[in-house]
Parts: sequence; structure tokens; C-alpha cells
Amino acid sequence: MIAWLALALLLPAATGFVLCSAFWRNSQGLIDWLARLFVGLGVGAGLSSCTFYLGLLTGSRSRTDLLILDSLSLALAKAVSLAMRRFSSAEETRELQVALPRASMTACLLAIPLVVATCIAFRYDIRYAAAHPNGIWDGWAIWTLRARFLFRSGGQWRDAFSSVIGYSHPDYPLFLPATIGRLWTYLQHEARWVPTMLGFFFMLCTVGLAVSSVAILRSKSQALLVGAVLVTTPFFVKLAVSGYAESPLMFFFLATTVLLVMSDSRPQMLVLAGLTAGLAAWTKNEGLLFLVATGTSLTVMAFLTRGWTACFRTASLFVAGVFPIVAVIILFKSQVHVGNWLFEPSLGGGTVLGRITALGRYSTISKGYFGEIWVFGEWEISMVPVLAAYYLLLGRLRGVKQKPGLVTAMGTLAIAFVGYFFVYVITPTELDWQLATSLSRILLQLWPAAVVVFFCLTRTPEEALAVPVGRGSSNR
Amino acid sequence: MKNEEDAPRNRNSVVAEKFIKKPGGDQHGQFSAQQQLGVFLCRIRVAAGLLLLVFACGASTRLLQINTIPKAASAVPDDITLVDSNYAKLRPNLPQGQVVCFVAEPGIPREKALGERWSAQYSLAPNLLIPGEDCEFVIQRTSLGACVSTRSRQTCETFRTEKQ
Repeated sequence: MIAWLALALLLPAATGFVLCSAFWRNSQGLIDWLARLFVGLGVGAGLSSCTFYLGLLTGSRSRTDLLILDSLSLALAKAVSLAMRRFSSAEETRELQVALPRASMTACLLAIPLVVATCIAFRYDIRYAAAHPNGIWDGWAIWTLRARFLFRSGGQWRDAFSSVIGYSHPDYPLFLPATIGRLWTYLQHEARWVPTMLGFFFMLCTVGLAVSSVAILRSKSQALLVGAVLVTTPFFVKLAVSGYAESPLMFFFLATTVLLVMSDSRPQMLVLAGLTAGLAAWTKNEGLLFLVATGTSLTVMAFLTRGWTACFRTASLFVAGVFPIVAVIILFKSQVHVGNWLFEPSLGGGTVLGRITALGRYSTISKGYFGEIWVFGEWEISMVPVLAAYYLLLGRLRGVKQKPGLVTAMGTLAIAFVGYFFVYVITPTELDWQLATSLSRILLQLWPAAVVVFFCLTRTPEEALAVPVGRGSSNR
Repeated sequence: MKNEEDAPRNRNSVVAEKFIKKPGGDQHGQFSAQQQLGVFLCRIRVAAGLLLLVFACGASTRLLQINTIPKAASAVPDDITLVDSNYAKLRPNLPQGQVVCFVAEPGIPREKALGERWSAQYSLAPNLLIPGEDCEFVIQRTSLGACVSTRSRQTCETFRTEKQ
């Protein structure tokens, strides 16, 4: 069984890593390699869930069939890698070889509390997962339920999308159920730990990617601060082992954001950004909104800064990454004959148009946003004003306008934030209940990506300490 | 990608060298004193920012530590785990993939009845549960457990309801 489990984990990991390496060339040492590994692990898991779904469609549901499909994916990734290597130029290689900054004393001092906080967060997660092995409400009632249908049903797996279980939102995409179902198929039994441990795995990938990417983009001390802020967000830690799809969704949002920021110096990263944005859409419907937000922000930014030609080139790279996943999503949506619940009439019979024109809803949602934004992380001391104060004390990075990738990432998060607001406007369920039960999760989805963007925009402690001659303390 | 960090650090050390080499008193000295104050304030600001952030993170870590479920309590199955293991005994009595009727415990509120059906659905997938009695197989929830009834026979299981 352990051998099969190892195969189930290693094949997608290798596929994701090889595919990421195809577009993420010119490694700059261990940290760069780690960032690539974390993105690769998430991408590999996402792609393997797609192959599992395609296997269901074609009747290839046995463990051997899956093994063949996963091996084919790995071979395909290797082929893409070889093809990309042919196109890479020696000039590009020289341009990107930049030494990473050494760790400062600040970084060494920050590492200790981060390690302690991480150990406490892990202990919390392990105990929580032991107490709730099936996860909590949405986890088992939506995601694991569907995984059980996929695993137990044999040829009748489409029952998972029956309107009889309409409460479980049959139109939700399949990333999480397919990943759980795939691992169960490899193990040949329903290991109860799989859903919660998947969430834990994605939490690790999220923290790992956030830390390694900020270490590359800014500094090691800044990276440790990002890690500390994430692992000390209690709701982030708790939700990871609740069986919810938020954990992988946060990872894909973060990966897309990081890749957008990195695309300034490596444009081919946009293909990977498209892939991770597509996988976000394959994880939850909120991911579809994020995909649209990313596409919009990217094309608008490219057009405004570099004109039509660059806009077309940027959009092409992004679409090349998005396309395979969107094709799977379209295939899935065409199979499910249950409409999106957001567009259904409300309990009182109100239409979408009626809800859009009800001004009272805007006020209710604004109040909900304003009330929740300070507390959604379930912190002891709200991190939002703390980060605002930190920004004022350390100052902002100069030359942000020369970093279109960073501006694009900020635009993406802003569009998604506003987009969520309008999703609440059209939601057919009772608004107060909907806000109370989902807004904290919705805000948390954007949190890791927002934290990374925040620390990319803020000066590192080392930069803030460096006072240029003649400017005194007012240097900001 | 990120190589500008070494430059500011060098600049800082240049400033520091100036303080050491040119003490206050002359024109250069007055300039250095102003700079010294600037560097001091800057250090205070950075230290304050870092302390604030570390303190806030520490407070939330403490909260996580306090809220960690004790080892003994984490071994006790939660409600859905209990329900799941109870219904697992009834699963062999149901036909694979068939629609099955579900009758909630009589007299309980509608919302609780819905919750009962949904948790039963989780356990009994891939059978689809519909409310009512007009099916070949009917699951009847009772105060003691649940029964699977067909026209010819009835199989009942007593549910373990207390957390042990």
C-alpha cells in the first residue's frame, strides 16, 4: 500500500515539477528551486485531478488505468520541457543569473519565532484533524461526499451531480473530490485522513511558496515575516484541516499572484500563471472570478504600459496556460445539468435584476465587509491595522511603477475583492445568513496572496535602515 | 531579480563610517549629528515596526496554543464520525447506486430532519436519499437508531449516540 501511495504522490509531483521547470528556467539556487517545487507540487496535484476526471469520462477507473494516465501526463510534461528547452536562448540565461541577497541578522533573529509558531500551528492542525477526521460541515457535506460518489459509484459516478443532492452544489468544480477520489483509488480504500491531510499539504505549500517567493523577490527577513503572518492566522491554520476547498484555492491564488510578480523578469511565467489561475477555477467557482480578474488586470496593464502588441503577447502566454484547464472545466460544466445557484430566484421570488437594483443590499454587504475585514483571521490582535502601522513605520518600496507584474497582481486582488462584493449582491439566499457563514472564508481566500503583495510593496527592514546621505529620517 | 538590497546596506555603512570619522563641532560634524539623529530615529521606527508585528503574531500564536484540542479530547469521535460509523453498518443492506427513501425521526424540527438526511446521505453514498416512503428501500430513523425496510423484511441497527 505504501508503494502505491508513494506512486500516487510522486507521479503528480514529478509531473508538476517538470512542467514548471519548462517555464521556470535558470534556477538561482536553493530558494528558487524550492519556490519552483512548491508551485510544481500544486500544479501536479491539479493536473492529476484533471486526468482522474478524464479517466472517469473514458471509463478508465482502475488503479492500473490511473497509473498509465499519470505516467502519460509525466511523459507529456517532459515533452513540453524538452520543447521549451529548444526555444530558450543563451542570452536570457545570462540575463537572469542574479545572486540572492545573504541573510541578515534580522533574518536570523526572525527565524526562531517563526519556527516556534510553525510548530504550534502544526500541533493545532494535527489535534484538530484527529478530533474531526471527516472535516467540518462543508468539508464532508460537499467535497468528501462527492469524492465518495466518484470512488464508490463505479459507472454511476454522475449521480454525484444529481439534483437530489442539490444542497451540495453539484455545479462546484471537481478538483478536491477528484484528488481525494484519485488517492483512494490508488490506496483501494477510503482512508479517512486523505481529505484533511490534503488541506494540510496545501497549507504547507502555501506557506512554503509565500516564504520562498518573497525571499527571491525581496529579502530573507521579509520572507520570514510573511511566513510568520500566515502561520499565526488562526483561521488559516484551522481551515486547512477542515476538509474545505479553501486551502488549495488559497494556494492557487497565491501561486498565480507570485507568478504574475515574477513575470516582470521572466515573461514565460505567464503560462504558469495561466495554469494556476485555471486550476483555481477548477477548485471552486470563486476561482472563475479570480481567473477573469487575472485576465482583465493582465491585459489592461499590458495595454496601458506597453501597447497593443505587448498586450496581445501577454494575453497569448496567459491563455496558453489557461486553455487546457478551461477545456476540462467546460467539459465538466457541460456534463452537469444543474445551473449555478447564484442565478436562481431567491426564496421570495426575487430575480437577479431585482437583487441588483435593491440598494439596501449594497449597504448590508458594505457593513458586512467593514465589520469582517478586521476579524476574519480570528486573530488575537487584528493583523490588518498592525500591517497598516508596519507599512507606515517601514515605508513603501520605491519604483513600484517599474514593476508591472506587481501592479497587475494588485489589480487582480482588487478586482476579485470587488467581484466578491457583487456576487453577494446577486446571491439568492438570505443575505445576512450568507454573509455570516461565508464572508470570513471569502476574505481568507485572498489573504496569503494579499500578504505576499503587501510585503513586496513594503520596504525590507534592511532597506528601511539604510538612510541615504542628506535625507535624514524622512526617507520614505 | 533582487540585488538592490546590498546597495542600501553599503550606503548605510558609509553613513556609519562618517559618524565615526567626523565627530561633531565643525560643519561636517553638525551634518553628521543630524544624520546620526536620522539613523537613530530610523532604527527606532524599524524596531517598533518589527516588534509590533512580532508581538501581534505572538499573541495569535498564544491563542492557537490555548485553543489546541487536548490529546484526550481529540481521540473522541465528533458527531459526523459517529453518525458515519453507525450508518456504515446499514450500507450492506442497500442496493448499490439505487434511490432510497429516508424518513427522519418523528417529531423532530424540520431543520434537524434535514441535517439527519444530509448526514445519512454522506454515509450512504452512492445511494441517493430522497425524503418520503415511496421507494423499494426505506430508511426509517428512530430514537434508538435506524432501520432499512423493504416489502419483505426490516433490518435495524441501534446507533451509538454518546461520545466515548
